[in-house]
Amino acid sequence: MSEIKTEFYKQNAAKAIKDPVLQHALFDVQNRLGPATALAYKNLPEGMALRQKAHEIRQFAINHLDILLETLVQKIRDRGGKVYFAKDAADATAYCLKIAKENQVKMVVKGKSMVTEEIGLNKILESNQIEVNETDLGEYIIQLAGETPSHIIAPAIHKTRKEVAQLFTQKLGIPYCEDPPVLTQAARKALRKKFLAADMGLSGCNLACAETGHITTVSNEGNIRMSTTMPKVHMAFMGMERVVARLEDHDALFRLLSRGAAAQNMAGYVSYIGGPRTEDQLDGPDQFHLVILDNGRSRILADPKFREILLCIRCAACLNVCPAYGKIGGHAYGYPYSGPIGAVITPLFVGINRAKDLCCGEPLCGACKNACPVDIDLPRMLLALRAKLADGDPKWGVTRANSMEKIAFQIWSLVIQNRKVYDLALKTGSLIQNLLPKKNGMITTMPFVFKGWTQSRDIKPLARVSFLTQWKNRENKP
Amino acid sequence: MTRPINQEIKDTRQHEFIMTIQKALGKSSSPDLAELFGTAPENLDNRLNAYINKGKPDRMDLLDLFIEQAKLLNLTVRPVESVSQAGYAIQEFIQQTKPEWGTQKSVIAWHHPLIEQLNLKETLDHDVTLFTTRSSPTPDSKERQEIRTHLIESYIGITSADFCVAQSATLVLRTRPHQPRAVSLVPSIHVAVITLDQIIENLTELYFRLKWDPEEQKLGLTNCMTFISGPSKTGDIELVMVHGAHGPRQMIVYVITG
Repeated sequence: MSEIKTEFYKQNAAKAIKDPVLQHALFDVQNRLGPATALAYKNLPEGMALRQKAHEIRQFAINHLDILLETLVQKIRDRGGKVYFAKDAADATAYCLKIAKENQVKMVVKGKSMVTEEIGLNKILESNQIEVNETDLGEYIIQLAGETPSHIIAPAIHKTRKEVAQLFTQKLGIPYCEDPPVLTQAARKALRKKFLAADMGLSGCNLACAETGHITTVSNEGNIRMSTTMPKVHMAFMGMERVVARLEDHDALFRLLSRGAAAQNMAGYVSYIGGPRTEDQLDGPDQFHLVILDNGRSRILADPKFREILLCIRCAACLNVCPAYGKIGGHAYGYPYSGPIGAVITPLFVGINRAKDLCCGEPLCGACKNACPVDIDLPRMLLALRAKLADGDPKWGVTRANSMEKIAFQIWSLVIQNRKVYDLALKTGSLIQNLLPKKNGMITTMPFVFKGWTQSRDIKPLARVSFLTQWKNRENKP
Repeated sequence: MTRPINQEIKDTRQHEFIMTIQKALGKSSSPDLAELFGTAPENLDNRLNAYINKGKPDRMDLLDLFIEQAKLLNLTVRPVESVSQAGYAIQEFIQQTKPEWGTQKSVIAWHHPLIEQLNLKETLDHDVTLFTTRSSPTPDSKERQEIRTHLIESYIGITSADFCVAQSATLVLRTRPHQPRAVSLVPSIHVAVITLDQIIENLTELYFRLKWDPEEQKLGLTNCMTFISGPSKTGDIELVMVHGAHGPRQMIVYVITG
């Protein structure tokens, strides 16, 4: 399992907001990728409607997940690939370790994969004396720095070129230089040795195709092709939901994935991998293993309210437009998945109570839904999670986040249903507020249960005469 | 409904996994495969015909589209009239470029009918070593190791492709005997040689032909089909675009139009 730090959301968010370097980086990534992706959707020959089509394709796949996985697996096995169904993180990592030991693996190279972050694979391998090399440049940077990814597709976005230059000088022994091409070349040189010496390559899977029996991997750097071509053993990890039925489904999905992730027409490299090297071929791995992971996904699948989140293709478009992510960055979410997708899926994976601040921290503005290449209604699910926190839900093991809140709202509901009581409450309020500290005509501190409202902002006082009274007075005038 | 596949697999782990999914979906049977994967469209022959038998003007338009899209990706496209012209251009290109690692100029090329016609063996300068990936029917580990060594030594890799998708400037390469996938990956420069009729319009056409053209069905997608859209790139340091992250730093496609 990946380390779960969702409980520290508020502290980490506050820290992030005070970090000027991070604020600059977040502004930059959102400012550049957010509008570029929106424009790229608009320029599609099919326009925005392609997103709905992609939604239907993904929905169809999820509704037929059982037979699609069986078809995929059968075809991969027919080509000599090995498939392992893992019910949880421990199961998946144990299988990986077993295969690594069987093949006397000393060093692995890894393509970028969120699902291996989710299962905490690196730690397990390293604690068994296997050297793990992240090979995506961003992942490589944060691995050298001993950090975790802060963005799904640009994991080192929180690092400036100065920081990378210092890191490379220290860890790779190169002369200090802040030039991105020089830094990239240094990583290219260091990792080329690793690609050629590694005993095993690890990758994720972007979208498998059941009909043909292939997984696909997508990258711009070519590191995933290297990891899946040069070592003798290739093991791919896929969340069980990452499959579509038909080959032509990839038409809409790859075009949208490339646009959602990086505003590209098409990602630099897409590989369809369906098995190990055949005996007449000159290269490719001798063994191909596919690990299909549940790890809480079947539980999400069983709940019609949340099933839609399994349509996600992990492009990170929602991160690039989310006002909350844009201020607090990826680390505050305390789990590999950040931004709106993280705010929905992390509570479902690690426990809704445990990660309650994630879904409460999002502003429900709908920007994520508009940016999603498969048109997932993230705000709807954020609200559904909050409803569970308000009412509790034994099925998900959710206890009421705050029992006082429920009582307060019940009282509030009684108050607003009775005109006289409501007017009285307003009048009392407008009297009491005279005692509260103010600045520039705004209340800066509220007492008791209301203090949360003024924790990070000031609040406007109640009007001395309510709107309704003003209206009546106006009408009564001759 | 009966299950047409996987009846004899006795993988209890898989069985449990799939049962969990079926329980979550609230169903116990699935539709037949034709419904899942689609049946051949009625106008199949017409559509295939229209794709395959395009006239030269249409193909030249696609070439223009390819060139335009390739520019955005820093992918160089060089139309040439004949194979011999392509051979000459490649020879000249090799003369003008230097290896990224070391000083020895080595080039590795696919064993492929179109590449053989380039006649590189005869035309290359003496200081250039040319390796080809011709292999025995079932290459043993020694033979494979030898090719791997050549591949790592080479700074230019020459391949052909199955298709070239104009709309996204994407080359589609399937893995075959004598045509290792690493030739388009490990050397610093990837040179590809294709003919004009290999350029198709978009992904829709590509997937349609792969799925329904009987010729394509015979080969299938193979165990590794790769899409390549331009040289390797990264934006992982402050979103600054840099070419040559791990794959080729430069990519050139020669299109034989004659």
